[in-house]
Amino acid sequence: MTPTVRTTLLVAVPPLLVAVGGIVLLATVAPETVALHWGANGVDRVGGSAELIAVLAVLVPVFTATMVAAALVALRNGTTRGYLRVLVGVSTGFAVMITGGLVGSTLSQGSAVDVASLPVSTALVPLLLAAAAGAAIGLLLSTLAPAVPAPAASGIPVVPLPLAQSEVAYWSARVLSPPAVIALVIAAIVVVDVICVVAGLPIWLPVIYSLVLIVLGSLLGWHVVVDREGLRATGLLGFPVVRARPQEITGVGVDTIRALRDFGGWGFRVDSQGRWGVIVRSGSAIQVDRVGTSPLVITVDDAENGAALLAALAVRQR
Amino acid sequence: MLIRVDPGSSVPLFEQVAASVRDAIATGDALAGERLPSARELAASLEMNVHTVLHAYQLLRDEGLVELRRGRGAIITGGAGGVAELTAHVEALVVEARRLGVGPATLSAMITKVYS
Repeated sequence: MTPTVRTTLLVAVPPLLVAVGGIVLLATVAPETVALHWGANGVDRVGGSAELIAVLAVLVPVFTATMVAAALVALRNGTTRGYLRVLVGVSTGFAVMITGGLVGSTLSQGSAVDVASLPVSTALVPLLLAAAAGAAIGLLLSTLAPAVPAPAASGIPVVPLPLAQSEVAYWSARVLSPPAVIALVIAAIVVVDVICVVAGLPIWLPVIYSLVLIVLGSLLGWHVVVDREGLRATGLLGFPVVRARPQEITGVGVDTIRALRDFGGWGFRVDSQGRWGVIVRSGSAIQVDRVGTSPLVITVDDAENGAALLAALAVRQR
Repeated sequence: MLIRVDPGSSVPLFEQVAASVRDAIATGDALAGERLPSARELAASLEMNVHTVLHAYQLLRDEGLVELRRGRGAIITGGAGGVAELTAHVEALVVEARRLGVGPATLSAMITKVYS
């Protein structure tokens, strides 16, 4: 069986079987009137179980088709087993989570006469269990993803910087996301905090929210250094630190990255070729090929010089 | 910004660090407002004494290429833009000197004389 056929079957068949099973269960076992939507205070809306069947019949096939399309495009362009594992796992994991959540929260209503007065836990517990089951089954199935030949490095190899035997060198650059992206994060903090305060919500809620967004926002700026210890990229708050040591480097190149098109956005990303990316903006990037793990891509200014020095240090290490 | 030093060279290390920064400014790799690496980080990376790096930064400050600010480190000044601009003129001058058969020592002496 070719990797394409095996991947397609693994991505498509299990989630569809799960959805069909869920639809059959809902059609045969679910009561006629069920709670359909839940809010913080309990049931928001009740209705027929046919509505849940319709949701399952549309949501899972559409998501599965998207995953299959992503797998086929990746296999055509060259990809890694790691990326295929993600697609296989996410496809079935999502189907189990949605189907299990809907079926579980429906069946747990049992034969209650007044479904509108059921507590939130009636839906919440099955949803959480379904999410955990989805993660476990997705992880398990992902191990069946086929092995594929490693894709050719897409970065353009650089000429190592000529260094004298006794010479040492240091290169560094700072990189920030475009102002519009930073403004978006700041706006997301301010707007939600103001809403929380105006709505009179407990103060810890906006505080935790702001802290989480500040930590995530700090990943929009990096300090990248190349020296005798290899490449080291540090987030604005001093963490996390991403490293590539000279002894684990097999090749260094530069690439021009389109953040949305190649990596689907900003932050820590994986592209369809299985490259790990620290993607802060579109434009020049250093690509580092490493022993036994995926290539690393870091978008940074003056990538040519940084890559040339890193290549020289890697050659010196051999 | 690329900084390279050769401990085997007869040129003092602080001079080599300063020369690397000057090169980065001249080629436009380092721009006005850009912060130089912290002295501690650079010293650790290049396996040299922090005071050697600080000596280099002080030299660049005396030349008007960087400002040293407490707590903010060394920042390239607006005046450094003139160095980058001048690079193109110097390159043109050297091309002309070669065409006329004027060697680097003579050209350098001529510049020094005019400058003083």
